[in-house]
Amino acid sequence: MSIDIVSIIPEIIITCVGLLVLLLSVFIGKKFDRAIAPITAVGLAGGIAAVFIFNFYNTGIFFSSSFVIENFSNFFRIFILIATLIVVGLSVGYVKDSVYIKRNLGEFYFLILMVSVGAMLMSAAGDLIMLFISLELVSIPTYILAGYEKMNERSNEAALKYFILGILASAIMVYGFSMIYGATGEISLTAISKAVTGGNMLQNNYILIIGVIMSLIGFGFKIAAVPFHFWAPDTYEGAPTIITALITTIAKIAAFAGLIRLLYVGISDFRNSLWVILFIIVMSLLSAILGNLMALPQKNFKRLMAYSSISHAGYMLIGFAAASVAAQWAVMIYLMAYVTMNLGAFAVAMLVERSRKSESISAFAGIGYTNPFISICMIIFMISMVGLPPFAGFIGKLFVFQAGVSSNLTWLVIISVLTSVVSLYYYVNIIKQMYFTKYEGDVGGVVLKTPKLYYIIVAACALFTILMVVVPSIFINLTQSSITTADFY
Amino acid sequence: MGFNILSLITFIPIAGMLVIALVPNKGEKSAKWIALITALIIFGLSIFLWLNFDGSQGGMQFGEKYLWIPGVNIYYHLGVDGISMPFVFLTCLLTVLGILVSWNITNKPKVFFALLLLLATGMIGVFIALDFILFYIFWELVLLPMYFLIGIWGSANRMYAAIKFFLYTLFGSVLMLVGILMIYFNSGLQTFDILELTKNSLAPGLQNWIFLLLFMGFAIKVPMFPFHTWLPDAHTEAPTAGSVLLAGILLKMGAYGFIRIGIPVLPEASKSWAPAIAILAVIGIIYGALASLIQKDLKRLVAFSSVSHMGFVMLGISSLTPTAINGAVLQMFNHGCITGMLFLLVGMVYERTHTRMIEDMGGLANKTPLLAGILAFTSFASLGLPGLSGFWGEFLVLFGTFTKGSIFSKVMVYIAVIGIVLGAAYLLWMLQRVIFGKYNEKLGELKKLTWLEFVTLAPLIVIIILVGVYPTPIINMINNSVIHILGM
Repeated sequence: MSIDIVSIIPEIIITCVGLLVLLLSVFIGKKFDRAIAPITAVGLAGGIAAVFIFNFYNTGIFFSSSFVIENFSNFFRIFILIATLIVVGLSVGYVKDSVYIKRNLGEFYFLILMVSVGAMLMSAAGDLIMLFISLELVSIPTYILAGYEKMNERSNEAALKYFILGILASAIMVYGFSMIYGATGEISLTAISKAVTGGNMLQNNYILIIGVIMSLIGFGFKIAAVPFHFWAPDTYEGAPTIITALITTIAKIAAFAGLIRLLYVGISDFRNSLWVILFIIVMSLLSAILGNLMALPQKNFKRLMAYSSISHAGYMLIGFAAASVAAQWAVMIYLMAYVTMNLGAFAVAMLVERSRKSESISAFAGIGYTNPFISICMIIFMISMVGLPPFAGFIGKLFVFQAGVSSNLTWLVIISVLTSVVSLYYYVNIIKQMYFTKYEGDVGGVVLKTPKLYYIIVAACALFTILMVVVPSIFINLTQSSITTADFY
Repeated sequence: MGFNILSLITFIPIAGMLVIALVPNKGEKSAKWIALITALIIFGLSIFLWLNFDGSQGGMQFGEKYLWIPGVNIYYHLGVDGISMPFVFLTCLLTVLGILVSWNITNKPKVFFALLLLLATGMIGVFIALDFILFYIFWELVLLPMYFLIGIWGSANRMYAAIKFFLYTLFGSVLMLVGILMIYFNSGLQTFDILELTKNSLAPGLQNWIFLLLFMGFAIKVPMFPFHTWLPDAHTEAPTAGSVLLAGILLKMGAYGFIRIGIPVLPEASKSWAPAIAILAVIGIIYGALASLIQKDLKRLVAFSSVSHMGFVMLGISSLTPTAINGAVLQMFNHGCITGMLFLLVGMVYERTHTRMIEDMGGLANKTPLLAGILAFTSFASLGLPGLSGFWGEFLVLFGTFTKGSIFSKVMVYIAVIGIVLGAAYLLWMLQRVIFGKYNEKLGELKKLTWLEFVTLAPLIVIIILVGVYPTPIINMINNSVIHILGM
């Protein structure tokens, strides 16, 4: 039991810091506000350190198989913690402008940390119950955060839509889990894997297949894959921008980590099930096509990013349809690339929003000349999103498509790359605004005010985006050694 | 060789770009000097490279090979042979000339010259990369700077032209990427190395499909007949330096891809696709020439003439005989010089007359005889006057295709010859309307050719005459590599 506790020390640290921040802000009040973000950041750094100290060489199965520490979970925990750290860094400037967030600052950071803890637990989930609980732990705080601007109708709409559809998705998913449990009689993912493979159940047990597909529907909601994406555009647009950044990154990482866990560990021979693969292919195809086409007419940056994130989910799903070991690490590389460029792009968007009080794409007008450095980084993020070399998005797409082609899904890959050509149009539209259009708003917002922290974060994201192409072997080794399979146990 | 000269040539422009980026905005004027010095360094290196290049060998020289991404066998592999050597040289030269011709640009010079240097890296890289993924990276690296060059410094309809160029070429190149991946998995070699992949064992049926994917990428870039519509827009709207590099280098990348990858890696498919390519090439020759005849815009005329001339290149490639492919490579080099020069001249004419419409010009020879004379000289080179370089490429293509002997190839040659006649027609008619006849007084006084402009034009004049009079060395060099590639 004592060893069991050691396995979740990082989660405990983050939870404690969250509670500390919450309680202190209640008892000390406004005077404490300035210290909240630094304490949160230190807590997150402590979490990262704890993963290195306690979990790196102490892999294994804990809490009667509900919690699994392996390279996979450590990779994702560090990934999630760093992403959260960046989100916290971006929030420092952002919250000053938001009346409602400023009012309840401790609660705000507490909720962000809870999302982070949920995501970490998800990456280490060893059974269906843990999978479900951690997914809810990610979801419920994000529902609240999406509606954090109480008097803002859009924010309310965002939260409500997200909440109702999210709950529906959870219900479908938990129903699917119950069917998997009913069919196999097992809760732990490894045991399910043994039962499914041993009984060849994916061929003849339709309860199991329906169960798996219902779980996929649930995950489909969380990663916003078509046709389960309806909440995404409104939620992304209405939520405070910092929360949109959070949803598109941490919630997405969590959902993908959970999906890898469920499919590659739990239903480990899902590649043999025509129904499951077909379902994934349909989601992937529809997401890539509709996500990119619907993005074309968008005028609001956050809405655009919503559709863009739908299309990226579609590309990543190719990795699941390919269902090979190479596909698994390819998805992880893609996820790293996506999160980096997405956070970078949102950082720039927040700068624009703060200085020009507008979320529209036309608000980017002319920043190419007023803020050259930020704009060059934004070009990098946008071109990387298209998947053009020499940026991270290219490496992500290359490996995912490579996995697709090696699994004889060439036709799917061809359609996907063609949709990525469509995506060029709307990503370049932002570049066009930055360089070819004159800003026609009030003079005060012409030059974007850029706090130092934003400079650092944007530069770091841009650097990382380039680094992933220059020395990809580091990231390939990292992800290749972090894959998870049913054999680990 | 004690140092990696190819890597140096490729990445010195990026270094120059970074230096320009560090220049404060007040010192904008120094940007062009930094760019010029960088370009002269790589130009010098490319001359040094050519001097040390052993033209009697067909294989790769100055090779550099390092494992870049171990897990998937992606190499950083560079090398030059007789086919890529002329284009490395030409890229460096045209970069220098592109900087000189933009010497007096006042709109954001820092960004302009930085982009030109980035473009140079991409273009050189394409011609020396020997790993598919590396090739693809350089191939795509070219797009972004060109998009900006057209989009910021272009003329009236620039936004449309820029995005059209970007979308069109990306459409082709992503299909090419899928083709590359298919080769990787089906060749049985699990490598992206272009030289290794020539030993593949792809089934002919599969080769045809892969060739189709690669064809889309290359043919759009060339551009071949039905995929050419981005070209007139991009050329017309681009600033002079952009047009020069587009015509001089970017169009060659597609044809180079066919020779470097299409033929050696997919030999069976190249044979079965050859008739289709030949027909499209000949349509391109005739269509481009006819379209040039009716153009009212001088720059658009030159642009369509490129479609026609690149048709000869593709005809040569499709015939798959050494002579014709020699001709194709030579034609690529010559077209790069000649059309590059035509665009330089059109830019200079535009600076004086402030119009590109042919009907507004006339009698330029009366006011700027030297400029008019050089324009006439270049037009003669372009229409294939013997003694100037343009002649040899087209001659070898037609000769090589004709000697193939089949009725089909003979018919193709007969039709293509009509294209040469039409080429003479539109160029001479253009000369008649632009430099001869009565001077249009509305244009006002015209400046004489400046020294800077003359220096910009001189190297190309020398090359055109040199290759025209004594083409043997360059043909030998190309020939050895072509034979090597065809495996003869």
